[in-house]
Amino acid sequence: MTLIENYLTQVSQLLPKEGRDDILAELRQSLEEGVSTTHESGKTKRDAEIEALARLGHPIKVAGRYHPQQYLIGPAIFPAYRYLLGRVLVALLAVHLAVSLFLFPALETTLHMGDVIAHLLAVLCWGAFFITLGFVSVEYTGETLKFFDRWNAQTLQQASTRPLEFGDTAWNVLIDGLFLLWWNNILIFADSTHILPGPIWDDIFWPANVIVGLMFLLHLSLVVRGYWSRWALKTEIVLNLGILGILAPIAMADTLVIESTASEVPRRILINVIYGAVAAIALWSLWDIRKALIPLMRPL
Amino acid sequence: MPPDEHLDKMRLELRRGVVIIAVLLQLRTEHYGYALRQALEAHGLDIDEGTLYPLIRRLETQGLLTSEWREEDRRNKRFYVISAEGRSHLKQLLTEFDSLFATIDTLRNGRTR
Repeated sequence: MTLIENYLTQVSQLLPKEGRDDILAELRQSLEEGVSTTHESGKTKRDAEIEALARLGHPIKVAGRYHPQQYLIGPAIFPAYRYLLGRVLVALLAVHLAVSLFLFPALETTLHMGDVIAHLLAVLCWGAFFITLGFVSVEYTGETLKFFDRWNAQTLQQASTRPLEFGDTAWNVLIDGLFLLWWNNILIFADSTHILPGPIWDDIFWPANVIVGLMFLLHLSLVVRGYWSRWALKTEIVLNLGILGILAPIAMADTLVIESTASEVPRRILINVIYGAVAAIALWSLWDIRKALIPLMRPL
Repeated sequence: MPPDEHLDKMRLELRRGVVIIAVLLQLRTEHYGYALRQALEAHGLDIDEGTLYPLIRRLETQGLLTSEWREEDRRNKRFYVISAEGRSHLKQLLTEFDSLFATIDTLRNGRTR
């Protein structure tokens, strides 16, 4: 009975303390009877043992079934967990970017991309950990969430028929935030001290800050609320028109870059890259305006 | 997930509730674990021991079964039997089961209840 003894030893290590001896005695009795019945039908004792143990199953699986709960977060509260986790992570991302935007200029320091990403990842991991821990506590204490019960169908009045793509909106929050950090010289992608920008950039510095800042707040509010309201659609259109309004003078400017040293990117290539980026952002804005207009044009 | 795995999962979900009713029905007469599994198998319900034993233990914790250790054929065995509370639960579960069965039957035959 060596196999059975080894099996029971493995199971016993994984069983809940309460009732452990009782469970082991019952399993032992059942296995012995199973072995005895199979052995009597003509199989060797060892084969009979292997058969009986296989019928019972893997020690981890069997022992696990004696525990009261087999999951950390159950299906009743999992949708709320997933919803909250996504939104908290995006909110943390926004806070992280905002802190970078306002705190680091005060410290008169600049950030490098690798440092920002490493610190951001650490913040997101801690956020996910605490949210998960909170929900696991709710699950294990047997509390129920009133989150879904409080929902009122009347809130649909403020909503629109445009579905909110959570990933896209979260991505927009990230892009808006990174742009603001870069635009304000807090985040540096590459050494650009050799480039002397034309006067047009000074003219659009604050308008771009205001418009992209408002976009950042709009996208963040969408992530938190979880749906596009008609008001949000209108704001999206206005802000995208504002972006087109900023891009127009760049496209028409006589002098985009005054100077670019020969060791770095040639001036002509740099100007073409800027024109390409302007065209891409303009197309993107037009696409966003179209997406916001379609649901607005449907009758209420 | 391949189609067979989908089917296996559905079958498992379908059986989960039925197994509890079957166990409670069978334990209207006293059985120990191994004999219970054999009795259920004889009725066409094959359930592995690794699932059955934790289940009957959970039902006992919930007060639906009672148990006692007793010697039989020179072996100590734990005998289970349905409790009064278990009978009451069983009655309600059977009513629910009959209702579901009747619904499925009318759906299958295209009738309305």
